[in-house]
Amino acid sequence: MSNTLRPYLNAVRATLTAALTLENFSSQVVERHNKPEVEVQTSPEALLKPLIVSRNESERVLIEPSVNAIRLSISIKQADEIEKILCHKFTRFMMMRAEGFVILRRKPIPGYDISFLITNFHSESMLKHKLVDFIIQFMEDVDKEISEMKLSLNARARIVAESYLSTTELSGGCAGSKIRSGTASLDMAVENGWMIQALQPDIGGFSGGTSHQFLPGPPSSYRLTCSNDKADLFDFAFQFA
Amino acid sequence: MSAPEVFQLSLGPLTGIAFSPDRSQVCVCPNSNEAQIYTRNGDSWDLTDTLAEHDKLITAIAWGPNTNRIVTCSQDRNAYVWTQTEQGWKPALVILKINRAATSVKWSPAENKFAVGSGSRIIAICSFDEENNWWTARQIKKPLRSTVLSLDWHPNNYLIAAGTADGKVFVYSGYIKGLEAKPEANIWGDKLPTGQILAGFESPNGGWVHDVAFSPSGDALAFVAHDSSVNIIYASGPNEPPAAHIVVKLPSLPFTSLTWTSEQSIVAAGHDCQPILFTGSHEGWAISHSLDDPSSTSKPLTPSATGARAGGVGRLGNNEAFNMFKAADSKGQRGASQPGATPTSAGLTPVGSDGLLLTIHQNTITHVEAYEWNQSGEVSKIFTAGRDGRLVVWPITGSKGLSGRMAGLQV
Repeated sequence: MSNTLRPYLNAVRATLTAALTLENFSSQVVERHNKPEVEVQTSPEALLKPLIVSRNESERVLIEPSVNAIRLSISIKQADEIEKILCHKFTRFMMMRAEGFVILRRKPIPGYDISFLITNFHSESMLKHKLVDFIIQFMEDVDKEISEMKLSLNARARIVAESYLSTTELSGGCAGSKIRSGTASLDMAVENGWMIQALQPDIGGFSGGTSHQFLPGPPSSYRLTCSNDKADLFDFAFQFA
Repeated sequence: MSAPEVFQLSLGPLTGIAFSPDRSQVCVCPNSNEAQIYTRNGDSWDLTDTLAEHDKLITAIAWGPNTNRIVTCSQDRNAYVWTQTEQGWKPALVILKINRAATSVKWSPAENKFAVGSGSRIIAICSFDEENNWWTARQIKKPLRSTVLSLDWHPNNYLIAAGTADGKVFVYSGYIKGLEAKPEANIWGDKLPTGQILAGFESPNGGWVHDVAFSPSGDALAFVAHDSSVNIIYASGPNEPPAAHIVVKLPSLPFTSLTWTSEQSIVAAGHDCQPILFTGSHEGWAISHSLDDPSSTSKPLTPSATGARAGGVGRLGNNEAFNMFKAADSKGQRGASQPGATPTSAGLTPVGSDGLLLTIHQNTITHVEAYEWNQSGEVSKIFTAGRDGRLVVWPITGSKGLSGRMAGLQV
């Protein structure tokens, strides 16, 4: 844990513990109703001052206490476009399954990425310090999760780019692999006006004939398939004219 | 001095609790619309009766020690007075004339009337109407602007104190003409028509007033508010400012309930899950000690209900230092507080290696009341009930010294 994260989480923990002093409070506006006062905002005396704990510009937590519920909203670090997309998808995934997380709110408060709503019914049925631990754990893990996703996304993008670029390298040269028996295929992007020729057309069905002329038009991809029904090893190669 | 007695009456919160006059029965509401009467059977409690008439959560229960009547009030805007008959407990209707939840109820000391606080900004003082065989209410409305969270009767049976959700405390006259003799002038006021305001106070930082209580003599009034303060007010005389308004501010989480154990001591408990004894006088008040201080006992007073206390996995699982660094590393959690007489500061109630609090109560204590008195009229035992469904009877350990507290230790 980095040195700035610890005081930040400590501050959130202390604030959250102090705010989680809830009681059962029946609505004084609507008869026979019992609603989270922080959501209905009808009795000003039942609300306390909202508080923001901020680590830096992008990472902050808003805690809005009231007599029978608190709302905690987290703004997650988003350094670039990719993190923004990942964070959006991640929080959306969770919020669509909000009932599985019990205290998760279905929509975040404007300006924040994810919100929790803890009512007195939650603090009655669950241990309070465990609720606090859960929130802190979540705050810790969400950063980790998103940076991990970003890393794996980058790695995947690299693999895709590599294989794409290595395929287009084919155009102009020749490529192939040894095939024993069975079928081999090669996907390739083909530019306009190229002609493809099988070097060893006798080994099997080169789909599209032994040679194929690509007519001018938009770039397209082409699958070359070659089958081998003999026991010997053949080179699977094509020439681009 | 014996150890506290712990009973797990429910898995959820106990929203109302009242003992029978002889302490052999207890009426509790297990966070539902029914009140249950348990009868003591040795070390356990057996369910004997269920009072089912309300259709929403019961918020408070009071049991008259002299007349043996129970009054329950609920968020369904009603209250019922239950009388024991040969066929069981029978409810009597109370015409409260309120249109929001009833929040608190207290029998007056003479038990000829009771007061109900409500979310419709009204205190209803109810007395029995012989003609119609129901209880009727006289309402106090001014100057309440918010839910009445707590009530208490003065021992003279005429005055009533109320704490509200906008941080105010009022002392009213609860005299009902035609029901009782005209009250005499007392230290709080001399003119006492129904609903007359005799005094008004505010919590220091405007916190919700969770509980109010008159001292045994009635000359002092104490209240606890959500700004973590305990306030004690000494009256000086009719139409005069109070002789003293003492505020004890605490670093702990707010208290939700308090009770006077003598003229010089108060026990308050709340979100810190431990009852704390305060002592003082006109000159000032201070914390004496906690009745369940987790940092002062090496071994927690764990009730058997939660099962054996087991350590973590592996050789280091039980190692306190290891767990402290582990918690600091993985959760940014600070370690257990330093031993001391003061309660642990906000949110730092130490947690055991099994993840439970080291205090007996595992969640907020919502009720503190006197359980037993000694010959000199001082409270020798109190009971607490909380959101964890536990009922605990505590002996008041008088001395602050270690020997006093060691006496309560289980070995």
